[in-house]
Order: sequence, then C-alpha cells, then structure tokens
Amino acid sequence: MLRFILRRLLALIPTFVGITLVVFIMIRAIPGDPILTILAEDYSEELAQEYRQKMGLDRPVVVQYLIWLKGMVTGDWGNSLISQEPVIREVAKRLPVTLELLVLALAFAVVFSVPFGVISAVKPNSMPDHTLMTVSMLGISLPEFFLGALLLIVFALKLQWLPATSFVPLSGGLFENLRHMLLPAVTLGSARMAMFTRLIRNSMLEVVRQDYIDTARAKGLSEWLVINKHALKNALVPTVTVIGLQIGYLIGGAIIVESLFALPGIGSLGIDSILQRDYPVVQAFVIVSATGFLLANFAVDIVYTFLDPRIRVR
Amino acid sequence: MNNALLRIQGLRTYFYTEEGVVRAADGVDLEIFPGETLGLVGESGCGKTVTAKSILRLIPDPPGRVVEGSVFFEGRDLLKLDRRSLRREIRGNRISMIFQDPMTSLNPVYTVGEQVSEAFRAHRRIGRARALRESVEILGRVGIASPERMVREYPHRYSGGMRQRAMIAMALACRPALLLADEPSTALDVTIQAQILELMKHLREEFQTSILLITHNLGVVAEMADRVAVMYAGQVVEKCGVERFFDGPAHPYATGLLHSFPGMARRAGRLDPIPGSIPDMVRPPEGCRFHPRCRKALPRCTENPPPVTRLEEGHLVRCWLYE
Ligand SMILES: Nc1ncnc2c1ncn2[C@@H]1O[C@H](COP(=O)(O)OP(=O)(O)OP(=O)(O)O)[C@@H](O)[C@H]1O
Ligand SMILES: [Mg+2]
Repeated sequence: MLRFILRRLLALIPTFVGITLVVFIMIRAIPGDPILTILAEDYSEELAQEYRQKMGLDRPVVVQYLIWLKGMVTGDWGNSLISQEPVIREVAKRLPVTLELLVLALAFAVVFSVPFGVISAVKPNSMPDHTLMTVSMLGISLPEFFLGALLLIVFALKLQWLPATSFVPLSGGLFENLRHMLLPAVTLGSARMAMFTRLIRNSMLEVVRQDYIDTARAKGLSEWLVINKHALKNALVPTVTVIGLQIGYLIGGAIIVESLFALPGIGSLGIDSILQRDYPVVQAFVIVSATGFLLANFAVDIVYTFLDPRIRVR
Repeated sequence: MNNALLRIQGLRTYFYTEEGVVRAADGVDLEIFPGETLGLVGESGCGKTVTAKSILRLIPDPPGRVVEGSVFFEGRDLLKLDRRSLRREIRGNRISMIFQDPMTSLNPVYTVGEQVSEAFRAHRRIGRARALRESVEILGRVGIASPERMVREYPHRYSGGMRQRAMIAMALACRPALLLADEPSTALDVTIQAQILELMKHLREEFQTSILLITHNLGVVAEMADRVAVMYAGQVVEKCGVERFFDGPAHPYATGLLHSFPGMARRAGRLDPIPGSIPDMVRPPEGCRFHPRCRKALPRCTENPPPVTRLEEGHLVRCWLYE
C-alpha cells in the first residue's frame, strides 16, 4: 500500500512540472519588457545590458526556466510589487484560512449528503425523497454569491446570530473561529452537498438492485447493515470520483466566497493581485491553487483504492 | 400429506410496472418434503426466481408485491411473519438461498471471509475471530484450496466456480433445513457445473438439507431431483416424481420441454422444440395459458382455465385433457 501511494505521488511530478511550465510561459507572454519598466527614465543600452545580466535574462530560456523553477521549489517566490513583502510570507499567512474553508465546506457537503442520499434511495418517490430532491435541485442551481448574500442578510443582518464580514483565526479560539467560518463554509458547501446527495441517491438506487444485496438480505442481515454496510460502500465508489473532480469547482468557489465574506485567504489574495496586476502574487496564486487541486485528487485516488479492492495494486 | 417442510399455496406475486401488472407468480402451489430435492423447471421468465424469492420475501417493493397466498414452513406462514423473526430465525438460518450468477452475488468490496462470517454472526452470538475460523473451516469443506489464505481475499480473486462454492458455504453456514438453489450451476462451464452439483449432492447427505433446485437443465434434474414441478407462465402445470417425469409426463408443455431437451431428444432420435414463446405476463391468454402453443388444445382450452387433476398419488396436472 505504501509503495502504491509513493508511486502515485511520483506520478504527480510531470503534472506539476507542466503547471509550472504553463505559468512560466504565461508570465513571459505578458507584453512589455520588464527592464523598460524598471529603468524607465534612466534607460540606457549599457544599464539595460547590466540589468539583463543581473536578472539572468540574457541566458537561454531553458536555463531561465530552471533557475525560476528552483526558486519556486525552494520558496523564493519574489516580492509583491505592491507591498514589497516576500510573496511566500503572504501566501503562508493566508493558506490556512483557505484550507480551513475548503475542509469545512467539503465536510459539510459530505456529512449531510451521505445520509440524505441514503434516505432518498431507501424509499424512492416517497415524501422525504421528493423533498430532498427538490431542495437539492434548488441548491445546485443557486450560485455562491447569491446564496452567500442571502445567508448574510438572514443570519447576520436580520437575526444577528452570526457575524457578517469579519474573521477570527483559529488562534483566536476554535468556537469564535467556527462562528465566523460557518456561513462561508455553508455557502461554499451547499451546491456540492446538493449535488452529492443526488449522486449518492442514484448510485444507491443502482446498487440496491444488485444480486449481492439480495445475498446480504437472504443471509438474515438487518436492513441497517444491508444498506449502510453492503450498499453504501459500493455506492460511494463512483461518488468519490466525482468528489475529486468537484474540488476544482470548490477552489474556484472559494475565491468568490472569500471575497464576499472578506476572508483573508488565498482566493481573495488572488483576486486582489489580478486586479492590481501584481504578477509575482498572481503567479504564486496560480501555482498554489493548481498544486492544491493536484494533491486533492491524489487524496481522492487513495480513498478510492481503500473503497474498491479491485483497483488496488500490489 | 401434511408433513411437508414447506408448503406454498396460491402464491401470487405481481410487479406493478409502467406496461401494466406483471403476474410473475399467479397461483403457485408447491410443497417440499423433508430431505427431498424438488426440481423446479420451466422456460426463462416463467416465474421460477420470483417464486423462490417470494419464500424469503426478497421481492423488491416497489415494483413487486406478494398479493396473495401463504408459505407455511415449520408451522408458520412466512408471508405473515414479523420482519424481525423472518430475519433472525428464517433467512440464512432455517432457509438459505443461492443465486443464479455467482459473479454478481458476492459483494465486491468485502472479503469473502467477511461475507461468510456474517452468515454465522447473523444467527449466533460469536465473535469476529471465531466466525472467521469457522469460515475457514466451511470454505475448506466446500472445496476451496488453502482456505486460510483465500478467506482474506476479495471476490475478484475467485473464479466463477470458487465463488459459487463460497456462496454455498455461506448458505450452509447455519445448517439450514431448506436450501433454495436458483440455477446454481447454469452460469458455469460444464466441468465446473458437474463439480458444483457433486458438491451439492455431497453436502445434501451431510447436512440433511432439503433443496428447491431451480434449473433449465433437465440433465441436472435427472441427476439431482426426487420430484419435479413444471412451471409455465406463473403457474405450476405439473408435479410428479422424477421417474414419472422422464417416463413421459402428462402435460403437453412438460412433454414439449422433455422433447426439446437435447439429452432426451438423442434418445428419441430428434429434437422437437415447443413452437412459439412464453406469453406476455401482463395479459396472459384466456383459458389455459399454454393453449396458443399446444398441439392438443381443445375448444374449451381457449375459454376456461383448466382445473388441477390428480392422476395418481403425488402426480398432479393442470390440463383439460385429463378432466
Ligand atoms: N423487478 C422486476 N420488475 C418487473 N418485472 C419483474 C421483476 N422481476 C421479475 N419480473 C418479471 O417476472 C417474470 C418472472 O421472472 P423470473 O425471474 O421469476 O423468471 P425465471 O423463471 O426465473 O426466468 P430465468 O430462467 O430466466 O431466470 C418475468 O416476466 C420478469 O419480467
Ligand atoms: Mg431466474
């Protein structure tokens, strides 16, 4: 198993290199000579030459890429053009906020969608099923900014149960932190929850028709075991794949939700940096989110092999 | 004749589909005596599996439902038994079932050992380790080589024949009085088929289990059964001893089955299939359900359903020819 995990991890390297290559080319493709911008009025041919040498811009592109990649891997991500602070410090400060938001949103989606999907599938076309399916249809079609605004108005402004656009980090106490993260996490997780609910329901409906479910019943197992042991584990196999694919949307949604709730995460950093043309930060934002997506899919792969022994490699 | 182990009377199991009501079992009468093997034969779609599943109340609802009838077993009507007793005392304990296709009847995401263990643990208060030990023991008994290792494997590491052995092990774990075997060998190739039948014969002696053996294959009936029941379009049309059946049954459909069976036709010198195909179970023909395909049909066969006639002790036929 360990060897399997290691092998999957190694397989990520080419993809990672691909991402960095795209980012590198993207940054180079931005029109305008950076030397021109830096020197501005002081421009002279000799000075430009000296700067090119200092910044390594006179070297072959491949060497430039390797030097840049080394910087990326060793944490030398340059300084923000706006704040002049090292980019990596800013990212390190904000990453935990986004990670917490993503984990909470995903946890919210999974924790509710599994029982909802099972309840729906156990008695298809019953009242609970119809209710859940209608609500989930609604949930899927509500965009984050709308749902988020709605929740803000109801729970923060009208009822005043929860804080609006403020943030308390984990170090400020778990309870306070969760109070502030609740609305953003629900906003981000709702559409996924609705989607997973429908997915698990359909997957369960497919599974309960299988012969091995009859076998389980014929053995004299309780209906609880038949559904939650024999059917659910099989139904989760296709669901987990989709969960992996949805993580990309989740990262995209985090940008919107962080901006809406003014959370100091990677997403809002990304938006701000793009608006301010702060290229080193944009570059870091793209690489961090792409790598996050990669690692999340890797985690899903591992979960998948635990669920389905048929794809486990020895 | 009241000493039957299992007695099905007037069983009607319907499926409520968009095309209409499928009368999959439409007045089935069957009985199985202690220690005997009853062969249940008939063309595909005549309601054999539905009848067997109805006994253990495994019919999916919706769309299906047992609408009428009784299934008496050891003095109780299984169709009226509370769910808890059905689960604890009957399913997998007094009555077990093995299914048509061994490739799909084991759960792919649990080890075979786990699945066999469950059969023990559902009916006896024993721990995990003990159940696993007994699983190894019974897997060995049904002919799985190196059961200590195989018990930890997932079904995809088993061949079709091994899976059916594992299913048999699971079914016999609690030494049931009755085994419902739904085409236990049909999906397997010929040599494996013979091995599985041999195993079932052997275990039948050892465990003193009665068997309801569902099959298309009259060769299997000749090999295994004490009595035969012939089903057509949701009803039993003939019941008799196995010798009687192979000497020449009474119902034209049973005769047709016998003549269309390659093994028998060789003896008769020609293959003689039944013309036509099984009727639409939503709107079965008026009168006798077999009359559109019957060479001996009389005028009244098209009008009224035939009564059941007793030709001799233990030989019943549902046909106007014998009225
Ligand atoms: N879940 C279901 N929904 C609707 N109709 C069903 C369902 N299960 C069985 N039937 C119908 O019941 C009838 C009898 O089916 P059954 O499976 O008992 O046939 P069988 O005699 O076992 O055939 P085979 O030899 O092919 O296994 C068929 O017409 C079938 O279409
Ligand atoms: Mg069948």
